[in-house]
Amino acid sequence: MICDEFSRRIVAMIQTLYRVSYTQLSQSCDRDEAVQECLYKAWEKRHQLRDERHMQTWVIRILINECHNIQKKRSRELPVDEMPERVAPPDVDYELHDALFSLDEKLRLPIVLHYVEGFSIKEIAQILRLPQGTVKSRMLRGRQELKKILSKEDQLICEI
Amino acid sequence: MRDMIDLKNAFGQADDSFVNNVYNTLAGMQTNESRKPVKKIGFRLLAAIVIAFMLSCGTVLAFTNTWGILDFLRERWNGVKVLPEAAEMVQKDVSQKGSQTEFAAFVVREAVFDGKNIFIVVDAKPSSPEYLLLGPDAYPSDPISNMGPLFSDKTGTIADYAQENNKKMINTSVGISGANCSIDYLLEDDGTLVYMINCSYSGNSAKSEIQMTCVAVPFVNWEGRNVIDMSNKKVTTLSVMLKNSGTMETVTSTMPAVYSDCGVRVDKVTLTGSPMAIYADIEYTVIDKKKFDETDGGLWFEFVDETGNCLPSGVSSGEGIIAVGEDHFIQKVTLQASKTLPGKIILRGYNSWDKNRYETHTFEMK
Repeated sequence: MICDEFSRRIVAMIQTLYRVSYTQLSQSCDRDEAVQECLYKAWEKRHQLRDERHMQTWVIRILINECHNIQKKRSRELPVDEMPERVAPPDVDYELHDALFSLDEKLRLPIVLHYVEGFSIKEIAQILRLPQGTVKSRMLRGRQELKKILSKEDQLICEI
Repeated sequence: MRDMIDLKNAFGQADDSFVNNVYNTLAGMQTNESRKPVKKIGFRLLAAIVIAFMLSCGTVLAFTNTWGILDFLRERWNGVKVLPEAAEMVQKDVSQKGSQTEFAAFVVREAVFDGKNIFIVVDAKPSSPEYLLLGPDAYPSDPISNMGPLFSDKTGTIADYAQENNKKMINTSVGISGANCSIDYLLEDDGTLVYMINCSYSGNSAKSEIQMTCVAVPFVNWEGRNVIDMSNKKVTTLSVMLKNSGTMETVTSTMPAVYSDCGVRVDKVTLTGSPMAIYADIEYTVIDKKKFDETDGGLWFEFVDETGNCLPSGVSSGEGIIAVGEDHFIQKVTLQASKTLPGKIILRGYNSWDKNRYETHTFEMK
């Protein structure tokens, strides 16, 4: 893959990169760092990508790894209860935002990858390196918790 | 009633800073940028902590002073402590060759190398008063208050500041070739951008020569957006000779311990002392793959005291977890410096994902 093609495909993924990093990291400087590391690693290891049709799942996998690395680093730098809160952007549905981000990250990430980014259960299993059954059960628990949180105000219709 | 598809509305659009960061990273690749990007620490977060610290403690820094390694550690790195002997390790007359670009000159002013870690302060001086030097992760749309304590009470963006003062914005970065660096920086009154760089770097010889890559690239306005003009990128190499002040002593655990909750055996813990930090290597082997897989990659070991509180971290975040073969890993971290190394340590496993605590074991150290 040449650099122009790589860049074109990454630019097409910007919103997805943003949402996936936002799902895991509360600080914008951390998201910038994660995506920068991700892009350099993806470019350096591009020859390991066997099928370019899978580039998106492959890049997202790398990004999630980078986000984990930063989370680990931050958890050592600051106690969890002193971590700064996520500041919601101005153009969001705050109710949904707060409900989604009150979920445990293990439940939140598969939900976002499926319902927001449109990845299949199989693709999510590959991205997260989890059995498909685990992905399904996490999504089920995530949906149930979301419903519970939103039940006073609203409900979410959902199907896999 | 809402549909799950509404979840997209829980996110906003990627902000300018994020989009610019992606474009600039890709632009770096377009110009055959093979170096690893410098690692950034949470500058904005750190700035906020520093400001809060200064306000609460009434700390008054002599802003006109030039910041050194120990100033950065004390004032900007979360109050991390080093031994008083660390002051004697600071090299002020650092042998170097280089390093001038069209936009800025880069000079190493202070360095510490203890055989495990490098700390370097680099002054990036603009070659013209009209240049405003920015760090590698600073964008024109960022608040000017991010630029350091001198700017903490200023409002508006960096771009606003540059426009008001008729300055051209120049993106800069400094890194050590072949190393993952942590980086902090601040802008001084005379326009000098002071970098503090830290990385793990092992070496036993009395002196080590390192190569630093220094980059300066102007911002240009492109379709209403400030972007880095990679066609005008200036790169120079700074060759620096560091004296190895050496570490003090090393102790090693006498017995392994099994952490059955997370499926690993800690084979060995090694602590190496230096006036800068205690460097810790925790070597472990997976003995129950199912249990280990259940940690989902979140296993981390933390040093705790007898009441279960975490021991303070050292100056560097360490190298993290390094895989040595399929089932063998080394976690490299640092602890706060101490005059003597402990005769025993307490190590607790925990999961950085869900914060679950695993078992705790005590290790005798000799």
